[in-house]
Amino acid sequence: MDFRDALFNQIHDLMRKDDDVVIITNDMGAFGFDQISKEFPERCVNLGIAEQNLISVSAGLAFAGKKVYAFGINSHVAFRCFEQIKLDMCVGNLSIALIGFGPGLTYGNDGPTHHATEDVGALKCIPNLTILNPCDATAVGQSAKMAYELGTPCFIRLDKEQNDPLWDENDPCFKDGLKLVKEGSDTLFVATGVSTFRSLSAAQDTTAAVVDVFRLSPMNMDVLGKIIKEFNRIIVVDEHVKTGSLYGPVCEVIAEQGLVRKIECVTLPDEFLLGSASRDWAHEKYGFTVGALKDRLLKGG
Amino acid sequence: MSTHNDLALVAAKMRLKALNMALKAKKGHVPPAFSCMELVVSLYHGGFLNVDANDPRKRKRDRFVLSKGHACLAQYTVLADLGFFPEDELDDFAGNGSFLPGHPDLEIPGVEAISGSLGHGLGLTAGMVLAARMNKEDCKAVVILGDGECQEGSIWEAAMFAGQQKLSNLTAIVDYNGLGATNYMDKVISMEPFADRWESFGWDCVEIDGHDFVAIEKALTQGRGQRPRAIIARTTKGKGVDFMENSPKWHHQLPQGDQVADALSQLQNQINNLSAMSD
Repeated sequence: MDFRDALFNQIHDLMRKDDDVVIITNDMGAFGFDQISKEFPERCVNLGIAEQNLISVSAGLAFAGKKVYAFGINSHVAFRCFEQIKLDMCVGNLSIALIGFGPGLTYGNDGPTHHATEDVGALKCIPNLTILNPCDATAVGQSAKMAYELGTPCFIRLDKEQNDPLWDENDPCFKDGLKLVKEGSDTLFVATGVSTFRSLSAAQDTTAAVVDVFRLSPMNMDVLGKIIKEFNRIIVVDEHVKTGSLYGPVCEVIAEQGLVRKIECVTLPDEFLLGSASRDWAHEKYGFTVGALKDRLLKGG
Repeated sequence: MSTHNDLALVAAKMRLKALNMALKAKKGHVPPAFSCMELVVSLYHGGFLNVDANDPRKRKRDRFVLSKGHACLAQYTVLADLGFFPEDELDDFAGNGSFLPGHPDLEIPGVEAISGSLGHGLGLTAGMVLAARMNKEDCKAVVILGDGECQEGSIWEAAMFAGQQKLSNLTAIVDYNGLGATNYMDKVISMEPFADRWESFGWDCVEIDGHDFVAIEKALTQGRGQRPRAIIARTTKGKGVDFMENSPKWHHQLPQGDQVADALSQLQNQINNLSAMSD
């Protein structure tokens, strides 16, 4: 199933069950939103291209008891309204799920204005905010459901790359926020989102293991540590600038739990990717391709 | 319902309390609080807001956000006076561990939103009345904006939205004292033609003397139509203490030396005069 369909179907179901669920956008077109609007026009709001107001109005709705799903392009809804996310949404610990369409380099050739490669690092500093990065359609649906059940601020990064699902609807690992999606020994890929699938492909026919991190914040350091300690070599793969990427919590867990491991990372450099660059082109350049990951894996630590 | 003289007496008493709080804490934005004191008193003591000190979170209530949160001395004194929290808490304003910081936050009974960073309150209150409309509840929301705050772009994002949505239960009162943090508004970024701007964004706009309780009451209630209402309340920053009034020097400065007794005396005299009129 398409990621957007998985998201909007779940929200649509919740709106049928609960009159307090509303959906709001900064004029981002989406077929699923149009479908919901036909059934619940009064609970679907397009407030125009105004990201700061998107969050403030969402917060006002949530202060008055609504459970809000707000969506827009990832790079815009993470940064333009950063202070509104912090103050209006998170200080009040409100039931708002902010959904960013196109994390990482999803919008590659659209240029750096549309890249969301620093968002997790920036947002995860904010208390009360849960950050989810579902890698498949099943996890997308569960993200929307989880946000509803939590009733606290969530940021959901919505990719669009379709792959065979790694998560089951009732997967017990959702509560942990991460899942070992391929067993193995010696080397462990720690990845999230599309990087999980690149890592899985690279690890195919090898003894390397792969963990998919679904919940980027708060990170489940206990479970992450338990998995990491079984391996000698860790390769972090995250389509995010190094600062704020998965590399940070992996290093923290190794340091805090006294695990001495060889650790490497494949992240984007801490710089802007200027010019026109497709996701595939950037992956080639920065070593995210299956071939580059496999070379790194087989080269050994 | 209080008489307008009663309300003026309340406002005078709140000013004296606010000044004493700031003097004790050695901090606080006194002049910005004084410019909107009649507005805040009118909303609460004047009975415009349906709120309950004994049940500040009751579901069907009106909402008030002091978006110019630095003027919180006006709201804190009024909330305490109405019993939202014990009055002796005011003595610990901005103290370590106090629940009354220098800008309002959500732990304070009666405070609906954190404020202090400017430009948030109009969008928040727009969302609050939108929720009430979805619930088919006749709940109002009022936000007090600073005039300088209206230099924030987010205010106009929210103004466009509220106008488009015809949020008729939303009232934005601009405390138009003509001064920003450092200078007169028209020497930095003028808001004029202010009323035309609100009207062009789909609002119904009235201009009043923001220290006149009769005018405030009329502006809040009379001639309301389908549009949200903007009230441009012309006020005097530092109102009530002559040497603070309408001066760029007085934003968060506190009286020093002889100024302390002078300011306290001026405010006490206003209370005495209004009390005599009430008797």
